[in-house]
Amino acid sequence: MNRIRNSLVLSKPFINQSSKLIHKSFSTTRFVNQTTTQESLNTTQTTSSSSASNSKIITEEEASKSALLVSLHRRLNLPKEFKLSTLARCLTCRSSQGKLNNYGLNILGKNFLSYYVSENLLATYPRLPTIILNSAIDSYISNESLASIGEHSWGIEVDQTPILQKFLREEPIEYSYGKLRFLPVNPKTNEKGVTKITKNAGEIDPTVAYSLSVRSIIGALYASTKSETLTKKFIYDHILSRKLDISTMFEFEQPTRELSRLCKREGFEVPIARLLAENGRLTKKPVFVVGVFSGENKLGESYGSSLKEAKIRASVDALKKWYLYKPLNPKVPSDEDYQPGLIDHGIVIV
Amino acid sequence: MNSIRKLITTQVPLAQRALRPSSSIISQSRSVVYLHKGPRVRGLVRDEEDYMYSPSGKKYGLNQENLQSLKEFLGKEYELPDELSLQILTHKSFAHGIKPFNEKLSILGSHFLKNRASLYTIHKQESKDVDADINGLSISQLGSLTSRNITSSEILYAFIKKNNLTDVIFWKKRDALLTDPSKSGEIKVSDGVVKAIIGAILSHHGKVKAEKFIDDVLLNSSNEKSLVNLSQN
Repeated sequence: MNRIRNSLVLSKPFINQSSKLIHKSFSTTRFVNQTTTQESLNTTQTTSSSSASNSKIITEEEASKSALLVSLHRRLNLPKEFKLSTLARCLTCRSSQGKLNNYGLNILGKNFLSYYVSENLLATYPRLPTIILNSAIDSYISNESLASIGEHSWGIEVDQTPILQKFLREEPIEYSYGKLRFLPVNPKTNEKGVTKITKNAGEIDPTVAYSLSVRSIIGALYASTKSETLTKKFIYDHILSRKLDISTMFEFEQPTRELSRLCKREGFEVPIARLLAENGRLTKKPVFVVGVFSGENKLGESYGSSLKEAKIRASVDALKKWYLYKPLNPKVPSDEDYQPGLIDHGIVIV
Repeated sequence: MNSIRKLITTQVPLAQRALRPSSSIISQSRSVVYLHKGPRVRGLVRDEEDYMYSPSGKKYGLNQENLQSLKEFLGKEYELPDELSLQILTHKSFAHGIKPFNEKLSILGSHFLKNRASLYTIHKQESKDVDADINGLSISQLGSLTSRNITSSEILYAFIKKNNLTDVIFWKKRDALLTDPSKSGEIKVSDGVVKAIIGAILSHHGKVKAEKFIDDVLLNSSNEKSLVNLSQN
């Protein structure tokens, strides 16, 4: 009975807030669907439920009643110091208007992520060109990548149940603590076939909301434990453990010229392409194998259906071998037994 | 021909030429290189002697004059090899990137500085909302203007100026006539040099020493030239 009474007490301001928001949205934007009240309630439920639930501090006791929070905590193998109430805060975005949201934790997590990922990439591939390096960092920690981790690997759910339905089901408020809460972009318009692409203030995409929560969990792990070692291990286990094929990211505009500039800068002999093998020169489908040499050292080798194609491919191969140089057992600066390695001179500017 | 100062003749040895297969696709590069000095002429390779100067007129090279300021700034504790020091002071825009430049050191340093600055904010800055704190850390201060200002380009530029490192930076102005630092690119270049110093210390000495450098030099409130004090002025 008490639970029902609580939910009724909580539900009154929910409905008031919902009606206010509906009224506001009718008067301010023409994109909101004005046809059914039910749909309007659906679009505003995330905000209203979140703001009500965040108007007070979530206690550990309340958070422990949420099965989703407890299971997420276990699934991520988080330490005891990482409280369930903190985890609930990580899932509450700033757009849901609560005081205790994940805004600060997201910044902390982002800074940890970008440092450890860039450090790892630079130690593993010291000669990586800046553009590729930035793309590789982005591949690990972009909104899309983190959203994929949050949704598919960690199994975070979005709070999508309409407030009216929650009220009718007499759903306890703790149920929503374990779900991702944010103000979603309302894509509905009055015009048939027209999709809304702009957002109102505070509205965010699910992808962004997911990435915010993933970064926040990393930030909260540090804040709870004050241990950089644990945070680093968590990042390595969950983010850097994903396979990324950097060799496919390269795209050279003038590979032969770039190789020539590279050799000049590094003081190597001028690169020369030599035909190593050929087959069917006078046929419809000839194959040429060309190697690029600097003095007696072979820099790269490849094949092509023409001499020019084979030469270009061989130059690309040589450049990739240079840029993708990987030291044996690379150590990052944050390792205890770190020894300084190669410091790259920078990319070749053609 | 007064303009011809240098004539480098490189000839391929006869024996080597004989060994080269007739099927080589790229012919050996030109054997005679003329390095032009004086006004720019399209198509001619310029002599390095002519343009290897910083905007303040310092000649590029591994010499005491160029590295003295940085060495004094780093001291014995954070000492770096001369080649690396010169690389820190060289921007990508200098000499069309043919000399080692600081771009990647700067990227690493930038991420590390942001990380340390956020830790400084939560550990050292006073919280404005105790309810939002976690484990006694001022989480609510992250993202505040004070927190963001510490690592802003303008503050890093002011830091470089205070430590007399601006004259020895090798870079190329967007326009030689521009004097406004924000328009000429000086602020961005200086920002990159501070981050490159951090990146170089991190790469050469490891994380522990780089943390000490940031805590003692950059984020030390008792040091009047530190980023913390410069951001408050």
